[in-house]
Amino acid sequence: LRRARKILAPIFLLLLFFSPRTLAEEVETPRLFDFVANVPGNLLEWSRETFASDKIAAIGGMLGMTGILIASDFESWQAMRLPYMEYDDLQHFADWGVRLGDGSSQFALAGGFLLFGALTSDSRALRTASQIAEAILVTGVVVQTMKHTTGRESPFLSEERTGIWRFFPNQGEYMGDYQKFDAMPSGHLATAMTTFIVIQENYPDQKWIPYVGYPLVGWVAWGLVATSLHWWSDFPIALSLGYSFGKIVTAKNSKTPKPASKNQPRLAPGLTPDGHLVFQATWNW
Amino acid sequence: VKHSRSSESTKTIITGIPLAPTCTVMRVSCLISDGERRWRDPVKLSVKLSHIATWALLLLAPVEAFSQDRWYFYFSAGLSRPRYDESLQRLIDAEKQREAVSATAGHFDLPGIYYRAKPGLLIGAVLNATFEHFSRDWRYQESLAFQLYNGNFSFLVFPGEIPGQGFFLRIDGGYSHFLQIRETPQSPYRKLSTGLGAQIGLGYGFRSTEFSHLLLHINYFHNDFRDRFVEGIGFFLGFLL
Repeated sequence: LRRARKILAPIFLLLLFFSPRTLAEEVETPRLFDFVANVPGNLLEWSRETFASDKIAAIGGMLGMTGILIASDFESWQAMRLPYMEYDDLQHFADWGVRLGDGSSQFALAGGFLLFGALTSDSRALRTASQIAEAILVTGVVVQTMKHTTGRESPFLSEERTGIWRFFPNQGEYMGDYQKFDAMPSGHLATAMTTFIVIQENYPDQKWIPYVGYPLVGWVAWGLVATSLHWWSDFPIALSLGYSFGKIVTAKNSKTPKPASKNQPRLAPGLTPDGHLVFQATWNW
Repeated sequence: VKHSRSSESTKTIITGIPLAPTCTVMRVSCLISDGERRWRDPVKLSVKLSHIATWALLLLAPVEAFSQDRWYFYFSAGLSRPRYDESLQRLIDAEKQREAVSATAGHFDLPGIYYRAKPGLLIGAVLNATFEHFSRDWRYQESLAFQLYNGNFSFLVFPGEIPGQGFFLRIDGGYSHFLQIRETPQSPYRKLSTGLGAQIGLGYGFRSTEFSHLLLHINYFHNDFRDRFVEGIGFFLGFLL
């Protein structure tokens, strides 16, 4: 029963928040392997958009901020590590944050959208599932390339105050002890950010998403530093990658939602007259 | 639970399992009773309140900043070499004799929320933090750390009347928490001082993307805690969204 509850809980939440109560966008149902087939095109688009002359100030600012954060990484990490070591409740809170960003949560979310989309024939949910997988995949390609190139130590293994950088490390050594090389940039935060952006772009009518999304991304970031997995300076590039790929992957979405038609089945949670929280199936005619 | 309901144009069939509120309530009450002792400790209470304030700001700031034209969201990072009063300086000197590294202090605006009151005037609130840590290596568990948390009212003045572009002046003032932490292998010792803080900054901003401006500024900050003070000049880089 406990396992069933774990599986049903995310689906219940998706039904609660994403059921097409008022608006249903007419979207094309994605093909099965779109999320893989689109990766090369997304990478090309990203390089075209990123290395453009009008992005010099933004990239310069992001790199400048990374540099400042590197200079004070030891101090800012210690400021998070000490309370983490001392308070049990902060430890649990930080650990949850890390779990939220470890990829399995994002894929579970994508799985939830997939299941929800299949159950309710909701193309928008199916597209969201496909685009989450696509954004994580393409973000992962760039993040892993950068990790394998920069070779920066994670805080908890650091031999120097802000971690040793071993540029172009031996890939055999990398695979043998990857946490000595894979701090920069943060894959956790990049995937968390890109998932949030994809959901936000697919559900522009759901105004609550940024209220939840930004704090969750902040929670993941804080958890990663408190648990000594990442430095603060690993985050500006990760956030930028997550944001960019989230936007690129969803750029082709239609921005004009249309009202829902009648004769459309709907699954959603609701309340019974005596106050019980339940699933409900509705058919309008 | 099973119900059915019909109306003029809608028929609804409901089926489901109610949640188990008893377990949830019990868990929450355990957490509260466990935390009671901590709420009585002013140091721990302040740290907790700082965290709550930070998260509350993080929760509200970005959405407000993005959703309305008159609201702005600012975050920045900076570096400085602060100067301390004599008693704190003695502690630092003692650490230096044990080969502790004299660190550069890191500053963060976490974040700032501003409202455009006039074309060139942004008024808002900023929660900022400064961290300094004296130790050669984190593994020794022998260190001295200073943490400064400020809750400030803040003004950004852009004479060119375009927020985020051109030269600007920043004036902040508010209350300040200074936390002195001595880490030992047994347990950390903490001392909290509360006082007032102010900072004034000059900088230049320019457009970085469609929705953001990059601000570079130099701030002078002074924090007074009656028997001690922290002051310095810091270099900052931030984004105004």
